[in-house]
Amino acid sequence: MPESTRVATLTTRRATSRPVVVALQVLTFLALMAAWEAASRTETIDPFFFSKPTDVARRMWEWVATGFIWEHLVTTLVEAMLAFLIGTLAGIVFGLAFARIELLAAIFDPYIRMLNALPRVILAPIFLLWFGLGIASKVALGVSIVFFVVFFNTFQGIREVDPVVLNNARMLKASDRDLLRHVYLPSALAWIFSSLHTSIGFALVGAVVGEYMGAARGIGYIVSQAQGVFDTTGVLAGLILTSAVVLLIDVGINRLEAHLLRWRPRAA
Amino acid sequence: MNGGGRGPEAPPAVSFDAVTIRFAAPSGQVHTVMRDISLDIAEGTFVAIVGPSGCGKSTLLNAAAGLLFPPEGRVRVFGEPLSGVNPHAAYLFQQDALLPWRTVLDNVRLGLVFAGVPRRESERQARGWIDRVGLKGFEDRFPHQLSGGMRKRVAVAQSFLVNPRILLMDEPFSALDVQTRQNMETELLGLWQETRKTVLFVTHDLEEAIALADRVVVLSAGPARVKGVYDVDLPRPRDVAEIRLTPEFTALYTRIWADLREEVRRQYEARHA
Repeated sequence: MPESTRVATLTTRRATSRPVVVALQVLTFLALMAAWEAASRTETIDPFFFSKPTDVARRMWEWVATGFIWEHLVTTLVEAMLAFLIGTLAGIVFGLAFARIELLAAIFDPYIRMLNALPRVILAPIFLLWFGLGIASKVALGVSIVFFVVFFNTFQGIREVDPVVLNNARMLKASDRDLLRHVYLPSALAWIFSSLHTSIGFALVGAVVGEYMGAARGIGYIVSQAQGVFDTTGVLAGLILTSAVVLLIDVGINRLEAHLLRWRPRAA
Repeated sequence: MNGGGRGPEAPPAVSFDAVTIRFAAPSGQVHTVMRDISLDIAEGTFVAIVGPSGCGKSTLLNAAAGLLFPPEGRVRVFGEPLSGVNPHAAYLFQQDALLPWRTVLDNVRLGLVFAGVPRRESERQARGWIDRVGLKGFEDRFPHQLSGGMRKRVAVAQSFLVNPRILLMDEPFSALDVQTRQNMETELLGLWQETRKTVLFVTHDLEEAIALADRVVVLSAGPARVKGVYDVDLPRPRDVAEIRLTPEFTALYTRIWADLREEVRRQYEARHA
């Protein structure tokens, strides 16, 4: 006789089954859209400024069907990817250096704080001047945001390495390189991963905002063009497209994270 | 051998020579943890160090490990003055010290990985030790998936695999429940019987100390000094559970406890003054 697969559940928290949650999520979405559609059709809200879901959906379908969107989407994704990779790499390298070299951290501490406190959007104009209207200025903007997220997490991750674990590795005759590879980096990686959702989102923010400020293609460019002609539907379609892309990437990261951080106890 | 005029006999595995250790307290005051500790640990002996909690037992072990460097006095290992991490010692910590992101197998073979032993060979040796500590079938688990006792077994295998001449143990079994603890003590004694490594075993539990060791060193309340050294002439091999019931054990316990009790009281009073 096959073993039943029913498992015990904690009595402290009543878990709702997955299909029910998904069904409720879909229902919430439909309800919100219906309310928006109705409000727009009855002119409770001004259709010119608020558009309506059916129009937005039709516009997005047009973009996809005519192939108009691909060039822009790819541009934005490439910018975001580059910003993410460069920002993450630089963040890890600098985080590592600062965490390990006390003097470096002491000297640069106020400057790092200052730069991090700076709203990154105001860097967009200067990056446009430096790097032009092409892809580079958007990547630079993305990097300027992603870098700090990863930098601080790496720094923290390395500072928080359990001294007992570290001493144990030292007693097992780990060299400095061994410590870096087997102790410091894996510890920091856990922190970096928990910030990955944020930093990927930020990379996309950098790309889209950069395009909005001045570009010849990209989702931010579409939004800015639509705004220029008071095309609310176009602005909203661009917005929703961006969120959808972020959502998709997030699902991918969740999978990757679950695999790479499988050594961590699951939070009860 | 230039044993510093120690004569023809082999130098002690570990020798403390008038070691004094002070720490800077957060308030800026200097706090003397131990003063003028002189102690020789002969090679192949199992030495237990007892003392009231917080008297600096672990500090003494850290000095032997080379994890801290005493400002006064000197630690010698097989006659060589220690500078940096003790090359002959493995350390079994009180807390969990395994890499949480490595499996049992990878944790056990860590010392060989650091030594540059090829993967296949290190895995072969690690599997042997995993088997010996009774963890066969758990090679691919991560530390958080194991019980406290199993994690200790992994740590024991990890330490023994590098085949150290000296084993330093800082209350390694204090976090375990009584049954698991006695099992671990028995297994440790079995392993020690086979390998005859030099062991420095810190504990606050006098019973554990007598049951395991050849010699018991009693440290005084802080700043710690060597208050007394007792030879434990109980026969080996020992059964750690049963030996506690013998009259010889009781006599020894009574004698050492008389020394220790006073220090425990002094430490308590110093804390609550």
